[in-house]
Amino acid sequence: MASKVVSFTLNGRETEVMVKPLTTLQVVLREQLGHTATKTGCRQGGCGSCTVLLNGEPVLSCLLPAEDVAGQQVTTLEGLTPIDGLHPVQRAFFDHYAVQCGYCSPGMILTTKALLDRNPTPSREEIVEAISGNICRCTGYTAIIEAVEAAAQALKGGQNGR
Amino acid sequence: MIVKDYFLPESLDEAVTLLAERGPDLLVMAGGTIAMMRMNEGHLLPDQVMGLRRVGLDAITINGKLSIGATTTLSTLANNESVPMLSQAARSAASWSLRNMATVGGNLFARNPYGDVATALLALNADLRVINRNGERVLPLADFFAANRQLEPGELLADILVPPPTGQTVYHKFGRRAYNTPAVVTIAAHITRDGDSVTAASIALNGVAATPVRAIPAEKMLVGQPLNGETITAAAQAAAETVDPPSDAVASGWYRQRMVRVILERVLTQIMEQEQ
Amino acid sequence: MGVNMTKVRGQGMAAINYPTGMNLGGDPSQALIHASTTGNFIISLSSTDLGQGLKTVIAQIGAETLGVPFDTVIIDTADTDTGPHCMGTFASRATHRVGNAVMMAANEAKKALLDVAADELEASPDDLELDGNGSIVVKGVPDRSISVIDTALAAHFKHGKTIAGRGIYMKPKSKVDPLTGEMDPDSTEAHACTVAEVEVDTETGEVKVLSLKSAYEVGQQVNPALVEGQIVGGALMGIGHALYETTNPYYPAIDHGPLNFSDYLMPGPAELPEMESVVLEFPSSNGPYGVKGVGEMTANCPIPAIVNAINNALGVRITTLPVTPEVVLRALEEKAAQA
Repeated sequence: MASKVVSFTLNGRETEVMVKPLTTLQVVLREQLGHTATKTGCRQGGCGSCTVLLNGEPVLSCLLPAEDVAGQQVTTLEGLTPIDGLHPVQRAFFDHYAVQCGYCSPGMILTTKALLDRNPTPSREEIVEAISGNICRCTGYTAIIEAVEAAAQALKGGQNGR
Repeated sequence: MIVKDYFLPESLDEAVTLLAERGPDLLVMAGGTIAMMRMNEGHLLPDQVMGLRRVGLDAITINGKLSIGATTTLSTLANNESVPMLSQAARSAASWSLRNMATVGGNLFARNPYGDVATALLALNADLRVINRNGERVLPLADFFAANRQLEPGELLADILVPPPTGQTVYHKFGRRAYNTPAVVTIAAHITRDGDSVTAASIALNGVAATPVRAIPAEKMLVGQPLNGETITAAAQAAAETVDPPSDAVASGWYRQRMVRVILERVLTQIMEQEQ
Repeated sequence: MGVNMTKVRGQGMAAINYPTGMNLGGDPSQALIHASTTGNFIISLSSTDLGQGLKTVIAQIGAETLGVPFDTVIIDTADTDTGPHCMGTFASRATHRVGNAVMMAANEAKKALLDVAADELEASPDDLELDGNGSIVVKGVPDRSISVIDTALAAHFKHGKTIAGRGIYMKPKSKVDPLTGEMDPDSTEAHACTVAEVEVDTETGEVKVLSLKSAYEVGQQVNPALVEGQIVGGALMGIGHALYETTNPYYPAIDHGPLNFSDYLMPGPAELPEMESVVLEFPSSNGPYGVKGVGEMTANCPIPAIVNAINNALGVRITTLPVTPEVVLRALEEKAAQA
């Protein structure tokens, strides 16, 4: 079977790519579309660094065939970032030193965005549970948890992100 | 990736037809959390793959029994409160993003020590509805595991049928981390009591064999007995003595065997202390 | 929950004396600095930022020494093939070694900058100073000044001069006295002490780290927020080494994995203990602005503190890592057998 054309909405924009059978969304995003915020970590579903939002839900793009997202909404960190600044979740990560090497950050930030969309006032325990699939080796998580709490506060205060 | 063909059938009919035509060389994949991982690593190199995301098996319905479509995601099951032990089992599996992809049907095929949702299903005496191009049959989940997860050629798992629990249920996944953890052992227990006496006991263990298994000797010891310190200790001891768990990176067989006793004691004690 | 469940608590302490750098037979790091036409300063290094914040602290040290704003300093660590030599980012050496090299290079570049500014202002370079906000002023005469940007433009397009500097810091090889073993392996030493409190379930062997309380003596801090980040991140790595992480759980048998990322056990965010740390600053004699180093020791000190706490809780003496629940149960069995 030859390659197929797959159309989906990437960060609000209609996008069309040509993919070989079973090419992952991760490879399409990074290598075909140049959206390199989505990281390549373990490619086993174990690290969370390739997290993207599919119809608003966090999923692992390394395990997702691109053909499966035809007609659906994909959000990457690029789509969260406004042209002239930072999304409130990004701002909170920046302000709270929640980024060290940065490899987990895109997945962490997208997971945080999905969490706060569902639960604008998460408890510390709910935050911990939500981010437990996004492995961070540098920060010891404390700064990240604090950043998620700060992002929740900021978004409640009206700085609404998309 | 060197897969030649990737099929995404739009209906169950289409899927079983493909399976019949292509035969056992067609790799069937639902959420992709097992197969894609192995393909990414180069441990699995199929020529042809069939994805099930569009076949329409992703709903939970209640009609006497709970019917869970095979491609229902663990997140969907976690959010369905109709059988608390099942939502708890789904919620404690892997991570949020993985639960959004992994399916209940796929969980039945997960290698040990994964597949904890299947453990809860086993304790609840679930049945599987499998179909092929000519019809369907229903087989007990226990038989499926006893046959080392083999279906007949051309058969596809369609639904998991769960009779409503008649007694008390406790699910305990014992891992090294609080969240997103593989199991050391997982125990799902469904105990029915009449007054003091246990009338039916179903105890499923995971992490102790190639598939989830029932702790039959422990179940037999409990039936007809009251739940008390003595019977609980004896049943937990019996369960531990009848397993020979494997060693892996999560835990050794030595440790798992001890934990079967400790965790089952805790699970049964919790049931004893609960109101019936 | 259970009837037989028993949990016991213990406390343990560990203190370390941590060397900055190691005896490598000559351990250099180099830095090159040059100004762009618009008065930004590019610091070229081969030293890698692993996420610990090296680029940030080196930019701070460079800006401080040059006397220019932090955001006009650009750190370029692009290529270890073509950049100035660095032995690497390890042994908690980078801020100390690279910082010293950058200070040396920055002083040379600053002299070149002031020479051009002196020509432009018709003043002696000795009478000039940088105000830290992007201007060079004649000392005591605030209205006689020139911006760093104009100075860089003049250097490039009027004087035909480079504004640049070279720096190297090398710790010479230390010979070992064959009789006593005496040597001078490091440049300076940082110190830490951690007190751990744990709770051990004697039925399951599970260890929960309740708290880690530490004092760190790291010399002058360049960036306290990054130091705190190292301490907290290192503490969770320490918990990992103490209780979870191993590539061969049943060594010398090696066929049990972990075979993939999910099977490799590390503590997650739910395993974080209460953490408190105090940072003391006793400046070193040879570090840039008195720096020592914080890096690796943040993961080291918690490990013996946690194991000592387990030993204290159980009355055993465990000497292997990681202390998995199985190790705990076996130690308890051995203790019972000896009783």
